[in-house]
Amino acid sequence: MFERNDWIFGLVSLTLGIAVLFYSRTFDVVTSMDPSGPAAMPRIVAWLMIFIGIVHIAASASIIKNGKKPKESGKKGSYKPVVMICAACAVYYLLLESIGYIVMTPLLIMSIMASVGERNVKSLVSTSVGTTLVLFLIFYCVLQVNMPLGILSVFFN
Amino acid sequence: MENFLIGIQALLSIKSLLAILAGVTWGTIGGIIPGINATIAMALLLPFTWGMEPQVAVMMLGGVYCGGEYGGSIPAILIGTPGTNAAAATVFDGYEMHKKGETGLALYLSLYSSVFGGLFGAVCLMLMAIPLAGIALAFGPAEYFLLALVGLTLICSLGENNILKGIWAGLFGILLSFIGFDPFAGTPRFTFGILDLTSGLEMVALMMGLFAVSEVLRQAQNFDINDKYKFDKKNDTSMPKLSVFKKFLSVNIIASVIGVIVGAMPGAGATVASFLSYSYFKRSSKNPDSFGKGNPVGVAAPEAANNAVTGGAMVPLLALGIPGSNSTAIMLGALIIHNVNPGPMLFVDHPEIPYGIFSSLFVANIMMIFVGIVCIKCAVKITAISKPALFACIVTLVFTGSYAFNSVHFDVLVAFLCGIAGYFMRRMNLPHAATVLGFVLGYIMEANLRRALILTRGSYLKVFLNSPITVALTVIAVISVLWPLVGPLRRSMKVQKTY
Repeated sequence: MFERNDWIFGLVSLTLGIAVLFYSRTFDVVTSMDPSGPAAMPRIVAWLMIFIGIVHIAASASIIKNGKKPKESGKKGSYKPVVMICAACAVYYLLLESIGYIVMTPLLIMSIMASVGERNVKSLVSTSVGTTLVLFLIFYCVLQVNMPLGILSVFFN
Repeated sequence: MENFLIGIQALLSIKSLLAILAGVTWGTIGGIIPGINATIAMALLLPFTWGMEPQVAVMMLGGVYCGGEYGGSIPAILIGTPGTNAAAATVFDGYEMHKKGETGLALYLSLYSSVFGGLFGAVCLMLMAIPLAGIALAFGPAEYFLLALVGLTLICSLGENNILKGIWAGLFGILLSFIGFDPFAGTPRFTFGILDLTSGLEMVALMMGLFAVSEVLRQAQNFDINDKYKFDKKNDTSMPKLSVFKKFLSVNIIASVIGVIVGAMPGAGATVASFLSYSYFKRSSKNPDSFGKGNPVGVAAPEAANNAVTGGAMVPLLALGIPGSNSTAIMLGALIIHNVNPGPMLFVDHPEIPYGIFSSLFVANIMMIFVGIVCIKCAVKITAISKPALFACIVTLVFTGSYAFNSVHFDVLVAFLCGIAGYFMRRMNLPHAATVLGFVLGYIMEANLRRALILTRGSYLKVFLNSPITVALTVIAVISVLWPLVGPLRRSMKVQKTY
């Protein structure tokens, strides 16, 4: 049931639980009409998280103490594409409103495809332009969603 | 009877029929593409339901659910890679049949069994949901709180090795549901002074991030550009005679019963149903060795079962307002997004929705025959979509959908951060599906607990001992948490005895 490196999860759970418990002090409003108040449920959740965190830290410590070997994990893969995709998404979010959907989306698509090793320029361009065009037409023209136009807004006004 | 006519009336409009057809087609294509399952297909479609009438939106999602469960079998047979987890059991015999040259039989038998299972599940849904909803009408806030608690504990405890991690994932979802203004006192909670957080996290962005973006990140980590599928374009995909399918009628009936029972159990789902059905027929076969070597029963059994799940899984959703699976959690989300309160009152307040779903499941399964036949013809091309393009398109669709839903830039960030959270949850073996359910059930739980506490003047004990129903639900919740611990405890005691 428990694993050797569960202490990491335990620590995350413990920290989150304590943070929630600490922060929930700020919304402690109890009235006769609402005897539990807005802090009650967050506190229950926080205490349960603290309990689960402590159990995992203790269990993991016991496994480490007994010298049990860690389980052989299968193919681990590379973190590089994950980090690159996340970076591309972060840049996309930051520049979406100022640069605009039509410019940023093909760049996002190309960056994600390139992150996982796609090097075929024809495929990169056709997928990014095609997908952006289809999505923009559906959301902007058909569903009439106010998409961020950014630097190209002059052409749409 | 009158309500059934309302349901049929809601169904018999061009909008509804087109929505179901679009749903079935997208679901089947999503199921065919490895990496997209029924749940992800439903999550990706959520933003497109924006502006639709609630019953049309739910009918479309029902169509996606049916199509998605079936579509996974096509790549399972053609390339030995299940398009969805639920089609994993189909690989054993389906791929072997394909290698033996019986591709047409395998593909059409899978379609026939899926349609049969889907229709069987729809009939069972009608027979079970209405009486169950009648009982649930007597429920008060305490009963609803405990019902949500039972739903959450059952889902958290099933299918995972570490029940505490399942519970934690559910708690995390509940915690996320607290973000924003408190519904009773209006106090801002966990907003950290950020204005965008005051209205809470957008459900569409959260669901798409947790399911779709995290899956892309997980697959990207293990992806190798040199791994490409090989296709035999000379496959015989012609449809066998109808008399061939009659031989599998009894198999389909038994498998569908298994599917409906498993589907109605919260947390179990289509994957469990298909494997249970497969192993049942293997164990009861006179020639169990033929399984895994191209036995057609090995295709019919899992496919009928995983499609029968669609009807079964909707029983707790429609009757009690408690989702029993990831896909029905998304459907619940869709109802909430359209300002419809799910639960037994749905049958009274919005009869067109539950009765519309009943009728739409029949239509969706019949449409699946035609969509399936077309998809089989062009399946090889669909499965050949390059993974890098698929990853990029999914992420783009998630971000575009998240933004478009409310035209709020911040929702893109929510989807992105939820995707990262989902990725790390997968790494730590935390079931992110429980988080989604926790998020969906969080408001129901808190609102009803607080209402119950007002009635019991702040006594938590009285909430749990309010009525025989609350006592029974408390016992079920406790058992569902403790039961998975019994197995590992027994094993460790046995190990200690042997030493």
